[in-house]
Formats: sequence, structure tokens, C-alpha cells
Amino acid sequence: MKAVFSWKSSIVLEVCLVLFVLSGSASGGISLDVTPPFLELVVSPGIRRTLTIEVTNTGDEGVAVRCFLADVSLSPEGNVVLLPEGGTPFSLAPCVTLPKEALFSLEPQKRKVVPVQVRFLREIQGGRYGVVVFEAVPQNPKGYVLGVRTGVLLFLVPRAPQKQRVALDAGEKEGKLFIVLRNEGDTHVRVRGELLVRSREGKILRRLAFPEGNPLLLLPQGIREYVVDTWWVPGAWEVTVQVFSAEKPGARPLAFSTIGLSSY
Amino acid sequence: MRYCIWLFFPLLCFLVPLPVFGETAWEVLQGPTIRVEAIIKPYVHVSVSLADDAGKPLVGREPVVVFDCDRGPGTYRAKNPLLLSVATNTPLQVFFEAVPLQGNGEKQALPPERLSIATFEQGKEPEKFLRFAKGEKLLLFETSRGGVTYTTLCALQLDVTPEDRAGTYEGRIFVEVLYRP
Repeated sequence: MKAVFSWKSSIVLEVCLVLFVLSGSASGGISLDVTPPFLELVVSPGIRRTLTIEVTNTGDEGVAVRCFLADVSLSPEGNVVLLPEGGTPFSLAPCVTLPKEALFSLEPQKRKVVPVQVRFLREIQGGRYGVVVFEAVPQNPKGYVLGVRTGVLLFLVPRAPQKQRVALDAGEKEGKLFIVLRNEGDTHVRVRGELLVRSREGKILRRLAFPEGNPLLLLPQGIREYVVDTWWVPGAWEVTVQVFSAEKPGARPLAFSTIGLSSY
Repeated sequence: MRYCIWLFFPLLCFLVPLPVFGETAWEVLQGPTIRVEAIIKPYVHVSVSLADDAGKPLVGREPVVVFDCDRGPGTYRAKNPLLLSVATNTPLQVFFEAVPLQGNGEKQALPPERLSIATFEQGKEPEKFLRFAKGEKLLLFETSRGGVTYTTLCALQLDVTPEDRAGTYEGRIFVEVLYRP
């Protein structure tokens, strides 16, 4: 019984700590929370769904919030890039309807639930990607004002099985391995890679997995670059780079490439 | 001696098989159990405000960056630094984006390239200023794991040239915080 009490009390303590941290950071200025920050939905074509996004003004000043839809792409380094609505072939625009009230004010410590209608049309092929953006500025902006822009990354994927096609290009320069991945399918793919460094006799001298953290995400038609600089071992003759779907561990590689290292 | 017997009795019970003491059969009764489930939803909290000389947020003041350009052409530091605070349990990236400063006249504008930003710690001077560019965002902070709180001070500076007309200019600086997929 004693053990149960201490376990429960630790949870209560932790929740209090989180609330304390959040409340402590609320002060003059712009402060905005959006939940959830990311949604990936597998949807059946033709079915309507309503998503709810919670927007909270955790600051001490009222803010004016503008809600809009943006397309998204990833830079070769994996940074999120917002693009105008409808600017990509895999835009979310035909599938999402935002509430008519695109501009609203949010008083301090107030929360607003924003319903977002999602309908995946039957004629649409592949996944759809975008961001429901919330831009908060002071209610009476004058001068060089600060604003906060945040939002919900929204990935819609049809329920039907998708073909995953990834092209891989690898090259070695000045001791570094440069790997370029391109998603040639119409749905996003998360990949993990592996390097196999072999000797002239074909013996594996080194096996290296990449990346270290989360798998690499590739949006449709997206390019991702990755550099490995600590791979070389004495006696290396060739190196094979292969990438696998992170969702299907143990499956055949999606792509591979072998580089000869005769210069060594 | 009597106490020693009592102390050894439990040990004896453990070592000697039960049938020696009779046919007592022990049964563990299962009581009602309560299933506990905790769902920690992902959250991103971002706060940006002006800071005072001690690096504390200026409470109750509109978040307006003021450059008092009173000595002609040159580089001017904003009166107050920015205090940026991010708390998240998911991977994210924090960018800064500046839009042109618009003056009173149609052709009066200061491009974002005139503005630069540097992060620094309280009590130290900002060192490396990064220049804004039109349509580009400056990556200030990122985490690939989440479960972090990040707080920093940011200094802003503006370059004023002899061609810039006198007047009041207005614009916006956005702190963009997005989930890193």
C-alpha cells in the first residue's frame, strides 16, 4: 500500500511540476499553445471526419489569431518549409475545410477549440500533406511587433496500400559519404539506412546504421541528404548503402547503392 | 532466550516444509484490481516577450521591438532583447522570420536584410549576429527528441543607411515553431 501511495504521489508531483513550468513562462508577450502539433491519419476515401485542434493563449496579453492552411515540404536537411496553399502536387487543400472564422481574438489564459473538416476525395491518389497554421500577434499591433506562428502538421494517407519507391544516390568525397534519397512514390516514407563496408575479399569490415535518432522522413517527390563521416576502416574496398522502410523492419531494402573505393 | 525462539520461528517456518505442521494449504486471494492508464498528449508551448536588463520578461508591455535610430546612419541595437521560451515533449524546430519594415510612404521600406539577430546568455554579450533575408527563415533551435525546455535571450540589430528617410517604420518578426517530423 505504501508503494502504491508513493507511485501515485510521484505522478501528482510530476503533473504539478509541468503545470508550474508552463504557468511560470506565461508573462507579457505572445504565448501560444497548439495541441496536437502533429496528426497522421489513415483515412478511407469518401469518409468525412472532424478534427479538433486546441489553441490556448497562455500569455497575459490578448492576441489576434489568424488561422490558415499551408502546404508543406521538407528541405534536404529535413527542415519544415511552409508554402502557399495549393503550391504542391500533394497539397492538403482539396481535402480540408477550415472554419469560416479564420480570424479570432483570444483573451489571456483562454482556450479555443477549432474544428477542422477532413474529407478524402475518392479521386485523389497518394497522400496529402499540409499545416493548419495559427499566427498570433498583439491585438493592436503598432511598430515592429513580435508574433508567434505555430500549427498542426497534418498528414492524410489513404487506407489502400501504397507503393513505396525510393531512389538512392551515394558518393564519396574527401572521406565523407554523401547520401541522397528521393521519394518517387506518392506517399511519405520513413527510412532507416545501413552502411556495409567490405574488404577486397568481400568480408564485412564494418556495419553502420543511420540515422542515430528518428528515421528520415521523405515526403512525396521530396529529397533528403545525409552525410556520414565516420565510416572508413583500414582495408575498405567497397561500401554498400541501403535503406529500409522504418515501418517494416526486416523487409527487403527499398534501395541500395554500392561504391567502389579503389582509390584507397 | 525466549525472544530468540520468537525470532527464529519465522525462519523455521520457511525452512521446514508445511506438512510437518499439518495439512494447512495457503491460498492467495485475488482482490479487485484497478487498471491505471496515463496518456501524455504531445504539446508545444512557445512564448516570446521583451526582456529587461536582468533578462526577465517585461510584464504587461506590448511585444514591440523599438530601434531608436537617433545618430544617423549606422547599426542600432533594439532597446530590449527578446526572451524566447519553448517547452515541448515532441521534436520541433524554432525559426525566426522578419518581414520588411514599412514606412509611411509607399517606397519607404527597410528590407529584412538590414536586420540581424543573435542569441546570448544573461550577463554575456551577443557574439554572432545572423542576418535575415527576404523569404528565408533562420533556424534558431531544434530538438529531435522532445522533453525539453529551452529559454534564450535574443538581441536584434538594425542597419540604417544614408538613403533611409526619417519616419516611423512598422513590421513584424515571427517566431515559427513547428513539429519536426
